[in-house]
Amino acid sequence: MNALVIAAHGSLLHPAASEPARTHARRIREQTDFDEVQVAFWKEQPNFREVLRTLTADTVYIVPLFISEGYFTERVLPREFDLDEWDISDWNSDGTSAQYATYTGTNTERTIHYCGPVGTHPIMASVVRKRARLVTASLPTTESIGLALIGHGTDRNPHSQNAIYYHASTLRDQNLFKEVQPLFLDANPRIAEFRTCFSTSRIVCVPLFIADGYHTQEDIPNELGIPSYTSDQWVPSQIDTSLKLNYNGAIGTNPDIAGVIVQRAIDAGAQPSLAENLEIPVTDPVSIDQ
Amino acid sequence: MNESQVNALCVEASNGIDFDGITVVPKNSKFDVKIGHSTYENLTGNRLREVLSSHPRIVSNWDYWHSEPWTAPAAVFLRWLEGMRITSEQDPDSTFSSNYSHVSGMELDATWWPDQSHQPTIAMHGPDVQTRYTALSHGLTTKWGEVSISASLVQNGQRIYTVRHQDDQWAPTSALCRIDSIESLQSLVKKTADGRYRPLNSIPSLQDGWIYGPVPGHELIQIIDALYPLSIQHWYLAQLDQIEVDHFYETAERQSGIYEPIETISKTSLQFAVRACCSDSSCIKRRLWNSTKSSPINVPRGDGKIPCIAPCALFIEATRFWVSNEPDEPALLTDVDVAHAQAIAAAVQAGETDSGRLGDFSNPYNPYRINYLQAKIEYITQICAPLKEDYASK
Repeated sequence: MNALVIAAHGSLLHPAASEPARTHARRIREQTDFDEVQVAFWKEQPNFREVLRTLTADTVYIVPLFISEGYFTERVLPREFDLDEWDISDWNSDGTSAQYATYTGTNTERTIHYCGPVGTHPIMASVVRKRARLVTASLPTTESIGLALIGHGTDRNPHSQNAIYYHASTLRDQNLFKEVQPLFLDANPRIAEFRTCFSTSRIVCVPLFIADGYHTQEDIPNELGIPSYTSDQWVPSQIDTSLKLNYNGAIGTNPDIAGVIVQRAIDAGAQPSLAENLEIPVTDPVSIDQ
Repeated sequence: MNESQVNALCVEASNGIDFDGITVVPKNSKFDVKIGHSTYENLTGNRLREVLSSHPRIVSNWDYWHSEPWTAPAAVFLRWLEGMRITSEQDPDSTFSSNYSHVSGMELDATWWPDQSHQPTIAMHGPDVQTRYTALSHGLTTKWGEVSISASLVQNGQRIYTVRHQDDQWAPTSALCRIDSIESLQSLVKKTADGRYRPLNSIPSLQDGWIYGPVPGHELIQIIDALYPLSIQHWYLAQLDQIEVDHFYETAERQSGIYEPIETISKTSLQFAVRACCSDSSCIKRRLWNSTKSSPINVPRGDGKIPCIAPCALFIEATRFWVSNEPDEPALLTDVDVAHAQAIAAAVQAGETDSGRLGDFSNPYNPYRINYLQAKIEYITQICAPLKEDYASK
């Protein structure tokens, strides 16, 4: 028996915060043969401890639905899931390269694979690119397009920016956009500086957040000088005669994230059967763009 | 009589059966059978089939509980809805009698147990099959959290279940909005009737006016899990006294970052906090945790059936707020308390007491903050009562 646990933040204030975890879990439950697929939240029910108390599978894959390595993945989750032997060095990560570490559960002899967060998986760049392609596919190939990867960032934890820089670097190397730049809400370069960061006539903005909420719907649009974001559609805005901007909500709501979650478990040794309509994003830019 | 159900039971008979009003003991290609008060000895295979065919309820009941791979919590919960109760291993009533039926012969999911080396045998007792079928034919209703679950019978012993808000128990079905997917139900449970976010499913503010079902048993389990996540599993483990509980101060000691200070909360303030957040008017769960394992909190645990096994995120958040606003001596009204009371009074006068978001403790009209202030004032009133009497006597 194996179980997949999707560990997410959730919120006491915002109803949308837990939606991606629940939606992806439902999809994975329907389209894979994991014996059990369970969501667990820091701020909502069921919480991490409640899930821990009812896990019965002998092999458990815990996949953090977080954008970056940091406080939650390194301290809160291991503690709340009773991973007593957890040591950050077990991930052997440079801040974006955590794959998984394996432990034996306290008092249960259960094997627990604690995976790296969804947001730092290399195939996340493909999810971003695919999302941006929804806008760029219909544009003339001659148009100069920039891609802005928007993250939260905080000076309190350097890792929080690493994931954004990491994917920006990957996407830059693929030469599919004329410019690729990271922008942050709470670190430099800040979102409001977007005009100085890009020389293109269009910027496609993809927020690397797990869920839509105040940041993606109010804060970021406000910094960009565009209307609040309320729907699940791309919002085109003409900033001035020389610059157009396209904005969409949190990347975490993208259906492809379900595939990234499953891939995290596969990386740790899971061998689930997948239904045809559950695609695992691939790193090859040619196949993803077709 | 359903032929395939009789066939299935005849096949199983050679392995022996002891389940819910029927025992079959195979003996040299023959069978000793006991059904209710009737006993039959040395039955041939054909006679066994005839005897079983004359007890269609016993047969269809056995079939219902064996034709699906129920997990133990689901099976016990569904049988509990029919009036069955878990019998502890030491209970003398757990020995067979015609009034007691057993689940111990069921195909319990052997892996469904946190500690697999101590998987228990679970026996249940309660009304016999005939009595339950009669009750089910009229519909059996049980409350779970804020919903009522109706169980009833359809053909061949199959049970179906309908879920609605307990306030709608007597409402005509035609007056209720029909919900037909777990996704729709999950959206419904996230908002109150006036559209406010319910951060926890256990807050007693589930909106009414809907009905889900009738559905088969496995879908009922999904519905209950969407309404009250893991409630069946926690209830089941608590019934067997096997649930692990996280008490407050051990939970507090584990915290880090902005929640680290909550371990400094005094026992008196903790008592106010529990009254504010965990009373039946604030949460439908029954609190199993104490301040420490050996130190209970002097507040009723609640009448709910669903166990609360650890301080929740909202409680931790609330505690953080009170720790940062409470002085060392909690039995004093602080400037913050006075300002809070004045703000409430002014808001009531102005007719502006919007409680805002439940998880927002900066709002003076937050219901948990008001509950806390009330608990504190009652506490101070109590400890001041002797002084008041003393003063009055002078």
